[in-house]
Amino acid sequence: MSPATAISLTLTAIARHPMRAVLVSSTFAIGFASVLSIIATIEGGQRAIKHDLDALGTDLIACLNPIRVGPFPEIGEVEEGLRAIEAGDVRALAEMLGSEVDGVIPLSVDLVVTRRGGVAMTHTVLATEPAFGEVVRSGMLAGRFLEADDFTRSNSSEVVPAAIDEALARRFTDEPAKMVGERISTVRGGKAMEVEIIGVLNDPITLRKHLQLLDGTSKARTIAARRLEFLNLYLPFRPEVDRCAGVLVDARDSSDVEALVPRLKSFFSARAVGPYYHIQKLWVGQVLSMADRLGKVGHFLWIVDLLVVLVLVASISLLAVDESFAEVALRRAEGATVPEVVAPVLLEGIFLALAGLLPGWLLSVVILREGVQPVLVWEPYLPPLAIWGTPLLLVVTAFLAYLVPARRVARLQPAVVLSGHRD
Amino acid sequence: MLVEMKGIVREFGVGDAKVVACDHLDLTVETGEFIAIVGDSGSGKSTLLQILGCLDSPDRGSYLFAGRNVDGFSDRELARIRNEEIGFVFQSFHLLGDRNALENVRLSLDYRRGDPPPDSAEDLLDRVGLSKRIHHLPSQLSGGERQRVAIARALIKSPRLLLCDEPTGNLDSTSSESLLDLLEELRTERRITVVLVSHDSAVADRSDRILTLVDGRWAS
Repeated sequence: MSPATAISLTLTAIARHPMRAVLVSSTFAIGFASVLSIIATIEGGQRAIKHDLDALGTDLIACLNPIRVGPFPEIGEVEEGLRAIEAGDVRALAEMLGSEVDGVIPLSVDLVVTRRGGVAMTHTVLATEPAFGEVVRSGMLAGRFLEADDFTRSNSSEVVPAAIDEALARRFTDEPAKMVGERISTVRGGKAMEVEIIGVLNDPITLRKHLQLLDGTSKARTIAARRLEFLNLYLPFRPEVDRCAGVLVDARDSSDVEALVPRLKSFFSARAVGPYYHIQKLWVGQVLSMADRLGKVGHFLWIVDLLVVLVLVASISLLAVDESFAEVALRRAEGATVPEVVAPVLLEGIFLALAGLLPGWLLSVVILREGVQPVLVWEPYLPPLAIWGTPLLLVVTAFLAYLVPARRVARLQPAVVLSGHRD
Repeated sequence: MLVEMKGIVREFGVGDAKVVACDHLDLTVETGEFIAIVGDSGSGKSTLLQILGCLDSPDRGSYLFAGRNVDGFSDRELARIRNEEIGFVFQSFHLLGDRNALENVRLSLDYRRGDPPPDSAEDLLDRVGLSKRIHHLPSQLSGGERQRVAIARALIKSPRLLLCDEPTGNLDSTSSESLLDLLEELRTERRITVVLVSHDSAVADRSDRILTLVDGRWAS
């Protein structure tokens, strides 16, 4: 029998049993859709978790001096014989690391009093550099973050450009975005200055949590200062004036952090500098490990899913083959070899699986867009391996599902079926 | 000689449940002969016919078909013999219900490996008197017509041996007579060897030779 004849016989069998074909193809389509949905949901979840962890600063290494904020006394101390980080250390560190990292960001933390209209507010101020804008991943509500020109401007003008947190802006107005372009008065270290708002940061809740966590887990701040809520005004960092509270090293990826830490320690030790290090890598590792375990559970689930498809299809096809025993026996009597009666059975499985791929794909898109994404929020993601590997696995599943009925066909005794009895 | 069987034994079951369907049977059939095998139900007629048709293999004994010992034949070789040299007609017709008469007759052509058959399916249906029914489904045909389709399906192979298992078992007497006339004509016309199994003596009387089976053995 030629391959064309085998295909023709298969297509004829499918056309003459439309209900069976629809049932089997639907099973494949639903199975395919569920496997894709599981993979895309879990892979998307893992990516979302990793992204969120990055947003929390997992690729940041904070090297902090004992922080003195406003009137609170500092209690942390550098070790004897060592000194605190200074602006020169930050410059030297930036030169050493160069393009190996995304940024080496100096940080100065202070308390200021800001007045707008009839409202006066004591809050934190961060003097930093433009790269800090990349660290604050929540983005801008309006306007922009500090840029290089702002540093020149702050040195040459009485008006200092500054970005403001949305949460702080809300203390002054119900419409934070409209503060862009406004000028407000601020008192810093007993000295009054005029600040022009150039941008409003989206409520950087992740940053604030990050900073609070930093406080809570290190000895870098006093207990009283730990109660501070970080609602920030962001000013340009002036190396010659601002007291350096520390430096943030923004690694390219959270996986680079472990290798960077010993180098930083070695760098500061060589310069007789003794900062506190705050590295979130350890607990991040735990969370990533949990995410990986979640992924493994996902793999188990979609394998179970494929097994369910296999059993369902095998059951349907077994029934179908039982129904066509007389036909198979007749074909054997008419000269069909075992492979010639088995081939159309296996081909039918593969054809119906292939027919289920496109509807299955579309169904998975609907499930992910309308069901998963709105509930879990994160973006589903399909790895390239899954895109071609899952259809391949499904076809293999179809082959296996039809193997049982095919074996049954192969073992069929035409004489018994055709005579219906022995005498 | 077309068929030569010696000491054919076919058993089913084991122990106390063992049934000997064919018990050391010898059989020779000459080319062009018309043989009727009769016997009661359970006498081993159908089993012998299945062994003759290479649908079943004996447990012991030898079977020469056209001088070739089929005992050692592979599945592929047996399938080729069934496809090109042996035609079957069954009591219950065994037509595919979802194929029309023409498609049923063409069934064996899907597996034909050698030259195309000398007769077309249309010609054969015409020969058996069904030229106007070629597109009818089996359910739209009478019992006699269905059996004629089955005969046409067997003839398209241009077989050397035609095996008929109770071919008139599901037909009324008129249809039976008509069918036997047709078999007689075809046998003469095409020099086909016919082996027919029946428990109806009137049917057997149309043959050249009647062989009677009793409990798997030839009656003396």
